[in-house]
Amino acid sequence: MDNRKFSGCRRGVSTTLSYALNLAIAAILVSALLFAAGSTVQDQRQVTAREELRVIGQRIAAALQDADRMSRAGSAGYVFLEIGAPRTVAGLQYTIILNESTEQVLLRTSEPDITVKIPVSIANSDWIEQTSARGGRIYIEINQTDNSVRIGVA
Amino acid sequence: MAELRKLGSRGEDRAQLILVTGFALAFTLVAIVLLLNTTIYTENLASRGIDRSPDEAVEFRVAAEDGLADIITAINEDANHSDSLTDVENQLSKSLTNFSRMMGRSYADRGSIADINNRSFILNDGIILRQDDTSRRLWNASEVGGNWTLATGVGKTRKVHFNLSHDHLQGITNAFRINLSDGTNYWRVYIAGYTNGVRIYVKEDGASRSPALCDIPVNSDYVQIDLSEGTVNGEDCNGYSWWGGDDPGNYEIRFENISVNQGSYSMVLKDGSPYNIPNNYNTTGGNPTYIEGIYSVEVQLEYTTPTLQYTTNVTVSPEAPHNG
Repeated sequence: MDNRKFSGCRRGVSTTLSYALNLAIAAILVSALLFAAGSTVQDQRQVTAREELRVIGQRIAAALQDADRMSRAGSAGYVFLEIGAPRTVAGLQYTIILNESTEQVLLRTSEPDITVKIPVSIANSDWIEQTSARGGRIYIEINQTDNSVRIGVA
Repeated sequence: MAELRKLGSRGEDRAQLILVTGFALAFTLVAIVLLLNTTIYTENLASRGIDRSPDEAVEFRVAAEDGLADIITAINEDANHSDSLTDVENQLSKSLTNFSRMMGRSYADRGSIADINNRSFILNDGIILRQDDTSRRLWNASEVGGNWTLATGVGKTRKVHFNLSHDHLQGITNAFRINLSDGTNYWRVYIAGYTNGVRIYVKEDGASRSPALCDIPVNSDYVQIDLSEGTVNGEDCNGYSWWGGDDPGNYEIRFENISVNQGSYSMVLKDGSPYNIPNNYNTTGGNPTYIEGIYSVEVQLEYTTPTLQYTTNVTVSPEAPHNG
């Protein structure tokens, strides 16, 4: 066969090149799209988790105030109050911490690292003991006998 | 001319990238929807009322305190000179048992256990000083006019009520006075009557007498003076109340200018030191008299629901000063 017959032939090249370029551009666009979508999901997940932690923290702070109100009514009082909270927020496990020094409820996830702080406004704030509980059903305990305010896993 | 390829064989592999992308985007959308769902749930959680148990527990405590106050008042009102402290205690125990049972049944309907611990209450005994004859003068059992001392070394006083004849009340110069003195400080209230009303004055610790704290119109024959709540015929009198609402403890109670005034009265005292009821009373059922009664009762309340355990000790002393 005489190769020279096709050596100068350029027919069909532009179609192949165009196809390859199309594929490359499509791949870049798709990658960018997927990256953006993944990033959006991640951002939304963090926002959702933060929002949910804030709501849970406020519910815990409100329950602490309820328990404090009850304990102050008489003497030698004891209050044990259970509160239901989700086990996870946006699929993330979290920890609830009753912070003794700052008188706050801290809700924290590890990956990604999100921390929400809710101030606790109770009359006997100096009774607060540094305690923590895994997210889920927790209890609040106020004991006037040993002047303590604690939380724990119910 | 190049030949067009048939669909099939190699054509089946086409658009794989778009297909994979489509799946990935679909998955992303599902993830976002799930997150949105979580957000909606959280917002719902935020607007949802939390457990009602704490409110119900406080409601139970208030109801128990009110009920106990009524029981104490009823027992004191029914008490007479022949009752001993043991009689009073037995009556209180019986009433507490009935009250506890009634409250327990009422809250059982809501799925809660409400208990007033009637097995370990503490009764703080008191003395009821009383004159129930509204036409008698305010003097002592010997019917000597002027001034007389009702008690010395009084710890606290609560529920001080007078029902005085309006016609017999005097103007400020000779007004009926109740004088409280702890040897160092004193507090004195004047109850002065005028044609159409009653005026209350207060004097304490060497200061000059206050202007009239209130001038309450009176159209009836008798005037109800409540020195615990600071009212005249139920109307507030600028906050005058027993020792200005700050009962210091350990003082004497003295009536002054009583020879003309007449009416009934009662008050409940808690012992202080040195406590003494002078020999000025009728001990055979006449007026005025003193009776063993209840000053206050300390009792344990328990309220339990599936999510709450609440225990507290409350002290009930109806119409006591704020520190009593």
